[in-house]
Amino acid sequence: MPGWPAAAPGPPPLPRRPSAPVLGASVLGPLVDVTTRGLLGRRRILLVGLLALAPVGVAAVLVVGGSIGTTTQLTRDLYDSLVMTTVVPLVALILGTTAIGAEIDDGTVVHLLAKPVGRGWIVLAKMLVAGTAGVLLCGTSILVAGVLLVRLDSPGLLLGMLAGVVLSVIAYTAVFVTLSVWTGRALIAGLAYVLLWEGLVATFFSGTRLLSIREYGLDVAAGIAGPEAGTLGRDVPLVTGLVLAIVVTVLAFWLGARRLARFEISDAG
Amino acid sequence: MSQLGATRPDVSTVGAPPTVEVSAVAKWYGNVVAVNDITFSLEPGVTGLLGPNGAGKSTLLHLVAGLLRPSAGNVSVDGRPTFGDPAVYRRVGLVPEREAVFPYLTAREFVRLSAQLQGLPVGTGAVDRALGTVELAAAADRQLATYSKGMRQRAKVAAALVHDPAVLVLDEPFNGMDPRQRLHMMALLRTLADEGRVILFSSHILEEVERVAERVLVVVSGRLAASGDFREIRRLMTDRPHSFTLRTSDDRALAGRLAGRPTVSGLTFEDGRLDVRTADFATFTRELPVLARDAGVSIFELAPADESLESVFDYLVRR
Repeated sequence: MPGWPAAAPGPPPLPRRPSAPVLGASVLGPLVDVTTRGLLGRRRILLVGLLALAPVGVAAVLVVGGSIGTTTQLTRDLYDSLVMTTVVPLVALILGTTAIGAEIDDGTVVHLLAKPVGRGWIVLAKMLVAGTAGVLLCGTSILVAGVLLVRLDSPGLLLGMLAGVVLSVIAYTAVFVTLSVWTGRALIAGLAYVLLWEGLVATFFSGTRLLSIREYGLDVAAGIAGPEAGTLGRDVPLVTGLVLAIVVTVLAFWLGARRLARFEISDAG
Repeated sequence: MSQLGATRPDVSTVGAPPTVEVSAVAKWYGNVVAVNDITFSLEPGVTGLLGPNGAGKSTLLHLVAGLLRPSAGNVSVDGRPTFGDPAVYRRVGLVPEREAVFPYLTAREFVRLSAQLQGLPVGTGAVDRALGTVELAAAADRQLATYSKGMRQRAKVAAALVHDPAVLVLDEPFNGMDPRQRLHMMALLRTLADEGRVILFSSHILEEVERVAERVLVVVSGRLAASGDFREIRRLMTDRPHSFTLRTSDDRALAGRLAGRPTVSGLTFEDGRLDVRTADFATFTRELPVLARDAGVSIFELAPADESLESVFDYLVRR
């Protein structure tokens, strides 16, 4: 169909801003700010907080119950079987999917997308906020739980555990943020990854351990703990876990930014 | 555009009007066709996108706003394809239909966020200006969660206006507004258009479009059923065949009179009811009382059989 008949020559043309490129780093602050407030404003942050506190609760019960003598081993078991298997991945899953997935679900993401903002900065802001929240929650939790159990007698173990938590939280949240951009069922997909892949497959087939974020964290924890690692000890060197975790994080960021750049909103009608 | 400025130095500080081109655009999801082979272009002024719910209006607006990738065809603003190019949002403001806003922000924070993400320098007054334009200045420091639907709508408009976009796309902007807010929004759209902007808004309500838009695009079932000046569309809608149901004191006698008239294209009567089809609405409605009086027939009831907007749209599609 041809265009409209020519408009009346009435109004003066609008002032036209020189068309600048897409905005960069200057938008990171506002994006981080709104994401943080969104995360804190949602009720599920309470759930995340409770989940993150679980190791502290368990440690407190053990101390009160007087399980003295084997506490160093208990700490390792707590770390291996509760913190790294359940607490860290689930906290990261909820934070990562909430940071952007919730905005995609309720439609508010449009208010970020309809702006001349490089898509990478949106993804980066989401990852930064989810990662920082996860590090603060899980890091504090493992430090408090560890100190409750082993006092300051095994500083290497404490430091190793902390480093392992920090590294895996960052990698997990990055992956889960990207998963939320790729699929509306990120929570299910993330749960499947954590429970089925890391929980079952990677446990039974040692070869697949190189594809498990949990293993990267444990590698680093054991590497830093050194002789205090005990049963946490790995046959994979620290640097492998560290490098793989960084590769996974960077890859997740790249894939997330790429996907968001071609993102199509879903409410058709 | 710099070339334009070079050849016309007297207009180097002002820009050419924005152009929005939609050509042969289709959007499908699997087997479902949401929008099919739509072509139009927009010039400064208000264009109403009219159609029943589910006709593909939102899809079309999202295609224009670069939030959906056309399955076929092209959408461009100022000659640049809109999808996958965030830079287009320097020229385009979008007011989405979904009510969702960040509930934990105040309106001022929400509009300020928009200004920051547009790269506007702090302290230019753009935020206050946008809030004032939609008459939210007084309530600007309340959280959006406490807002009524109409207020949220206005907050979204303020956020979309803060960078003074040349193209403004609004999806069902009058939804949830009370009559006073509606009038204010209509006046606002008119003002913005008079300043040279391209305004495209969708509505499923004929009267809204009629009151504010100078041009209309009618979309039905994903297709462009009609487009052009509103009076043109109005005439099409009035001149289409109309059906009436009559209850009279003597159906047979009236039918006999009607049967010979050129304005009547069809007649059936059954169950004490007379159905009449006419191709000439205006003449028929003038003729009918005269014919009835001459025949000595009393009309108890005269009801249009197909006055729903859907049947109007239906006609436009089949036309």
